[in-house]
Amino acid sequence: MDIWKEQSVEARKGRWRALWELEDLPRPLWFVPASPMLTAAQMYGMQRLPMDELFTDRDLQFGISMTVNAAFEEMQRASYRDDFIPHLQPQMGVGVFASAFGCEVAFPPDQMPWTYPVIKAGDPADKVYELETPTVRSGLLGDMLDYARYFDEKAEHRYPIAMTDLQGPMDTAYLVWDSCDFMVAMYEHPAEVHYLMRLCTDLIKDFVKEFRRQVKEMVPAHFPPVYLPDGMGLAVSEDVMAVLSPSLWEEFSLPYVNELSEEFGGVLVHSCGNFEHQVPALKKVRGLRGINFGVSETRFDAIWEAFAEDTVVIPHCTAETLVADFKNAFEWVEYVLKRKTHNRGLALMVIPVGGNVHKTDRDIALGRPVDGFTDAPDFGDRIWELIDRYA
Amino acid sequence: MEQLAELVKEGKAEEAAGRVRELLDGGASADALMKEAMIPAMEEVGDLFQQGKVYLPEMLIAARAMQGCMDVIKPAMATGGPGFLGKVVIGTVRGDIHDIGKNLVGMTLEGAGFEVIDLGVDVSPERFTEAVREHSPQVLGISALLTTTMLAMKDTIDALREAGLRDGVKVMIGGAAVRGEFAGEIGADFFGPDSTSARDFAREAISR
Repeated sequence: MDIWKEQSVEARKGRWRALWELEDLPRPLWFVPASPMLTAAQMYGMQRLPMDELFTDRDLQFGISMTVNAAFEEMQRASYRDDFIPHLQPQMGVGVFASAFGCEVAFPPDQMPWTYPVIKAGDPADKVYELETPTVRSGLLGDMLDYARYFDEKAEHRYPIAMTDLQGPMDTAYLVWDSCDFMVAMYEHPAEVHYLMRLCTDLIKDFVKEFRRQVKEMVPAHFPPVYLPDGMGLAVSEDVMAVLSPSLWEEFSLPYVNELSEEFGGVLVHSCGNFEHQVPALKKVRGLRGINFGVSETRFDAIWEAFAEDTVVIPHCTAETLVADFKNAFEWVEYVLKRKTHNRGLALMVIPVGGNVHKTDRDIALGRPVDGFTDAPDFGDRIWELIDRYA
Repeated sequence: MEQLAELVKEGKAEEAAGRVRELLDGGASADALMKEAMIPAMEEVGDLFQQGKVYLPEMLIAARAMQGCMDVIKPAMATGGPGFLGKVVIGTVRGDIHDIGKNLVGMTLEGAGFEVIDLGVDVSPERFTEAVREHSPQVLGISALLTTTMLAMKDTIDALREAGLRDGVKVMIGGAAVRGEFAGEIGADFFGPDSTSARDFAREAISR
């Protein structure tokens, strides 16, 4: 099988394995981030449908995910021909791990779920010692394990099951403990911060192993929605590192990220903010398998220069920043491709904003007409033209 | 004074408050402490933050030290001290519980000598309107992190207009998802990409 010519799922999986193994590739990988639940949530938002039901109704979540997958598979065949691997993913938002510590997660009808800290602003730092050690079924985590098994069985193992939203140890701790107090505690109560980080790390390790037991094929990546074979790493969100100094991140997060890396065969670090200042600290992560970042926030050149030789680099652009900083997806793709120096380890996450119509949350907020996510039927052709030109 | 400024910059809250007490007991005026030590110290930290030389935790501990000093100074201000530069009401919009950016703006404004009335998070347009009516601030600061909650900024400004309060207050908006042009589109006066620019806008607003 020529994995670079065929478009079967197995061929595409082969291309992802080659990416993670840092083989020399004939072209970079590219994918439309067709994460079924995030896509469904976006659709619910656009159409003003009750988002709380989407996140709390297992059968609804499964049915819509299957519908989204079928639609994207059709678009993949007809237009994109990209490297995305459709999957299913149980989702209740960013707070599922925090919920295991007793955090309340609210499910508003018009928004993604909210998480309230259990250690509130002004609480004494030693309240951290009153937290019950969570189990893999505490809070909403039990539901996520059950959803995962249910999705896998009901789909008859047709799709891999991606990890539910896995905020890393620090991002989870930041949800458990009022965020401002948590950051101040790094200076004033470091022992308490480390105590919570230990609890979060142990919980994540135990949960991922339990999640693996529930399904036939686990993809240990919640975001970006990539195909990451089990055993080749674990995706962790490290958004908080964008607002920390390198020394604080090295002291309070790096040891725990390294621990996860050792346990799961590497880590794929995702962060939404500008974390360019953390590049030297990130170089100290043992087994850093990949980096995912927003090009509008963190400069592509800085990440490429630092990591392209030995780490997978996955740049992305959200619809909102895409429209603000680039005219459309094509301009953004060309921006990245012009700057790469080789194809090894490069995968572009491409939001299908076609150029003529862009529907962003801001448009919705201002009551502008919503015409659809993309109106460019030649979207795939135009991306491929760029990929081929710069291969 | 220099020692006080250093303690604020380093975020040593207890020591800074203790130093304020010593200086007040020694005859220093609250006005001098603020103008010669505390405000310049916070401005320096704010500038370093804007330049990316210090980060959020360092900004927060400095701001808390400043707040601790203000708690000591406030009684002196109430008895004929310098008073506040002006008044600002801030809050995060309805449907949004993110507060770091809003807190940072509040702390920076307090550090610059403003009285800040913080309405918290998930604040309805009606509550913003009531607060403007009650406190008559020169500036209203509205924060939203999410693109999905940006509409609530427009709702808030519309509510102020309907209540006949819009012309009496300058409105600044901020938040990760917000861009400059959005401020004009919804009828706000200013978009602040960071807390320092919010502080500068507030200063400008009170000088008009």
